[in-house]
Amino acid sequence: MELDLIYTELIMEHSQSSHNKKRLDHADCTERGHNPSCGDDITLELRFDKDKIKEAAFTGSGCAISQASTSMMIDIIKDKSILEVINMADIFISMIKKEIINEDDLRILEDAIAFKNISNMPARVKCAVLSWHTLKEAIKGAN
Amino acid sequence: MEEVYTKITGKTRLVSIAHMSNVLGTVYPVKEITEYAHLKGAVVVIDGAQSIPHIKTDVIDIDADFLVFSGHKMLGPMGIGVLYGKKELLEIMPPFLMGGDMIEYVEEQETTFNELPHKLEAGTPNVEGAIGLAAAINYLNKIGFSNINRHERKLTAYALSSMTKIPYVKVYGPMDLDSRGAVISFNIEGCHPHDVASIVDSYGVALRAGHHCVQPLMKYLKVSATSRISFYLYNTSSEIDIFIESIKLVRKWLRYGA
Repeated sequence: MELDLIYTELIMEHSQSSHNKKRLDHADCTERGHNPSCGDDITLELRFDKDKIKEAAFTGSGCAISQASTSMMIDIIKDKSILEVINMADIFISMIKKEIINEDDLRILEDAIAFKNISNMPARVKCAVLSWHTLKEAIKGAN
Repeated sequence: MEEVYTKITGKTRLVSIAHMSNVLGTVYPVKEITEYAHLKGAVVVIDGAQSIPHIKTDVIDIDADFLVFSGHKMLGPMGIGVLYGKKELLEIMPPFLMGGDMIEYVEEQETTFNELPHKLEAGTPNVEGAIGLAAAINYLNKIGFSNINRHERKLTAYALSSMTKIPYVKVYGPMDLDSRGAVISFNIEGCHPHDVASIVDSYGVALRAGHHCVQPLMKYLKVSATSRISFYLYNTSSEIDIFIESIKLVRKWLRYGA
C-alpha cells in the first residue's frame, strides 16, 4: 500500500486541525462512538435547525485517520438536510466497503472522497467509518 | 513479590498468572509465586503461551499444578495448544466436554469415563495439529533454548539501545535484560499506534498495535494503546535497523511538528 495515498496532505491537515474539535453549546444530540479494539473514541454533537444540521462538533481521541475523517465529515454535513446526510453516510460506508461501482455516486461526498484508498487497507477501515456510523446513530437517536 | 504476599491469602483457591507479559515482556518469578501459593493452599495455573517459545520451562521444577500454552506462538500450527496438569488434579476433574473416545461404559442411566488423557479429550482429535506441534517442539529443542535465548537477548538489547536513543520514542517495561523477554512495547510521541503500525508495515515491518487485550494495563500506563515489536529466532539485527529507520519516518508521514 502506498502511504502517500492514505496519509495525504488533505487528510493530515484535517487530522491536525482543531477547528471542529470542541464542545457545542446547546447541542440537540450527543453521540459517543468508539472502536474498542483500537481505542478510537469520539463524541459527536449536533444542533439542528428544523430538518437541517445547523452546527456540528466533536471531542475525543484516536488515530490520524479517525480524527481526520470526523473533522472532514463535520465540514461537509453542515447546512445539509438530515436525509442528505444519511445518504452521504451510506455512500461513504459503501465506498469504503468497495460497493460503489459508479464513481459519479461519490461526488456528493466532496472532500471525503479522499478516504477512498482506505478501502485497500482493511486494518484501517473501521477508523475511517467510525464518524459516519456515529453520525447515523446520533440522527437515529435524535428522531 | 511483596504484592504476592498480600494478594495470596488463606482464602485464595486458585492463582492464575502469566509467565511473561505479552505487553511489557516482564518475566515473573513463577516458581517463587507457586511456592508461596502452595503454602497458602492454592492451586496454580500458569499461562506459558508467551514464555514457552523463549524460555526453557520445567513444570516439575516450577511445581506448577497446571500450565498452558499454544502452538502458533512456537512455530507450530494454529488451533492446537497444550494443557499440562498434575495427574492427581486431572483425575478428580469431571470432563467438560462429552464426545467420542472419552467414555468407558455407557448404560441407559449411567456412564463411566475413560482414563486420562482420553477423559478430557472428547471428539475427533486434531491429529495434524498435534503432529505439527510435536515437530515444532522437536525443532526448537534441536536448536536449543539457550541458543534461542542468546539470540533474542542480543536482538532485544540492540533494539532497546537503538530505540531509547530516539528522544520522541517512549519504551515501556523493564530495561534489565534479565527480567524481560523479547517483546518491546513503545509509543511515538504525538502519533497513534495504529498509524505507527500502518506506516512501519509499509516498510516491511509487522508490529502489533492496540491495547493487547489488557485495557487495565493501558489505563495504568495512561495510554490508549501501544505499538509492540517482538523477536524470535528468525529475526536479524539488520531487520532491527530497518525498523529503527522506519519509526524515524513515522513523524514525517504524520507531519508531526511540521
